[in-house]
Amino acid sequence: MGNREAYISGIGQSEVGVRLARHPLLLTLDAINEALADAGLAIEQIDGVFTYPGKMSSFLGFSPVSSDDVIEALGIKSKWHLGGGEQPAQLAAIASAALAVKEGLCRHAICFRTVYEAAALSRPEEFPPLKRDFVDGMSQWTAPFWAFSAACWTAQYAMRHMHRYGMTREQLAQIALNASRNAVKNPRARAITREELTLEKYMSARMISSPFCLYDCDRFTDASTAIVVSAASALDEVKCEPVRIAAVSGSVDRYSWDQVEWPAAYETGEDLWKRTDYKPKDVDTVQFYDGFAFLPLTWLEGLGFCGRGEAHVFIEGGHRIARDGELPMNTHGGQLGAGRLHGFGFAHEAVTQLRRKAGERQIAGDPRVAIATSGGGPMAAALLLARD
Amino acid sequence: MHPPKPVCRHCHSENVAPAAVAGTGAIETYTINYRAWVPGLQVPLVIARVRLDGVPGVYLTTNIVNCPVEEVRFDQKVRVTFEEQDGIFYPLFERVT
Repeated sequence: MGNREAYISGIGQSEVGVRLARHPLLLTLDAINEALADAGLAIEQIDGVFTYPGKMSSFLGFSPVSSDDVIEALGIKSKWHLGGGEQPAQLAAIASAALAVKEGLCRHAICFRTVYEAAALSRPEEFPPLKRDFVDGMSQWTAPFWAFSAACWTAQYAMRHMHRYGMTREQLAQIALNASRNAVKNPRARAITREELTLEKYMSARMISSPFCLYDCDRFTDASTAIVVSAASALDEVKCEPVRIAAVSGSVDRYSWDQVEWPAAYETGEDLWKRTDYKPKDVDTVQFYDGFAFLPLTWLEGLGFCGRGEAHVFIEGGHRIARDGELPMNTHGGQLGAGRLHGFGFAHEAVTQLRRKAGERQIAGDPRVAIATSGGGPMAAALLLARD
Repeated sequence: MHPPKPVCRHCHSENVAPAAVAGTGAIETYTINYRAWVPGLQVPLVIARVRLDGVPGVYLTTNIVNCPVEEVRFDQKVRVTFEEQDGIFYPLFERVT
């Protein structure tokens, strides 16, 4: 244990639901309180707050709570805080907290991501939807052609994989099937997944944007997830088993999704291994961002668990990525099965598995190393986590 | 380069201006969109990324029109057809037959 390391010392999550009535700031406090109890820390010991993408006043359902809201509401004496979307991807907020505690800017930092998209849609007078009568930035080049959704942008990468490498829908289906098998073992996924998906149901589902059907796309969810990051020098105050942030990486080539040949998962994946002595074979479980079912395939290839253009063969039949497989993936159900927690759910589950606290869905053995990823298209961020 | 910026991302020259391109290209990738994201949207429709002839590395997100969605293929040759709405000309593409 080097004294300049950063650790995840606590994790917490609010109720996960669809159209929740509870205020998003209160959901955030629920997640934070659980994370603090887990870490054995009091709010007075917190001196940093990090979030992604920061409060978005024009689109409150997407991000309704700011780091300032949390500081104000909980009376945190913050020494360093940050919230913003101009970061490599969702988990960059945790990476930034790790950098801050390593530099001594703060000692114990709360990182959170709160989503309120389902509730906001059902209460538009309180949470006005994103205005669609004006576009700028990248949207001005995509929205006029009805490419509103990241589903349509990501689908084009998936279609190319089918064309170049021969991926089939039956192979792609394994991501959603695996997610649902794991989600039914996750008490916090009950509002999202009620029963196991079958291949038959998958193949006959309504199409969204080829090759994606309904089950390849995550759904709007209301929840908050909190992660406490602590400096090595402050670990003596922590009551639970800490998990070391062994390496982080992130990249963005350019923000225009339609000008990028390869998703950023490839570069971010390669970079992660340059910053650690661990190798892919040391990894006990992976929690890969699956807002759309194709994205975990880019992480499998980008991180070198298989070659480029081979992930659909790697996941075929679903055995390798199952809880009892050689590389258990998205053991909580991912976003497809456990809700669109927007990146932070993967870090939460990686820590849960490494601490052997996953109950019915716990993977076997003595897991020591896990990866959590976030992002899609031209932006990506990854965390390598280790229990020493 | 695309989207347009006041500086070239390759050489950082500020001497940049709109330039006409061939108006032809090929389908780099595409998706058949089945979901009506806004009320009244006629689906299915093809959203495609077209690589334009003569300008390597420049892609345009667009729609492939005037053919059944199931007949769209990778690398198919296409050419532009403009659709005007409120004074704005949207570059859509159709197959070259």
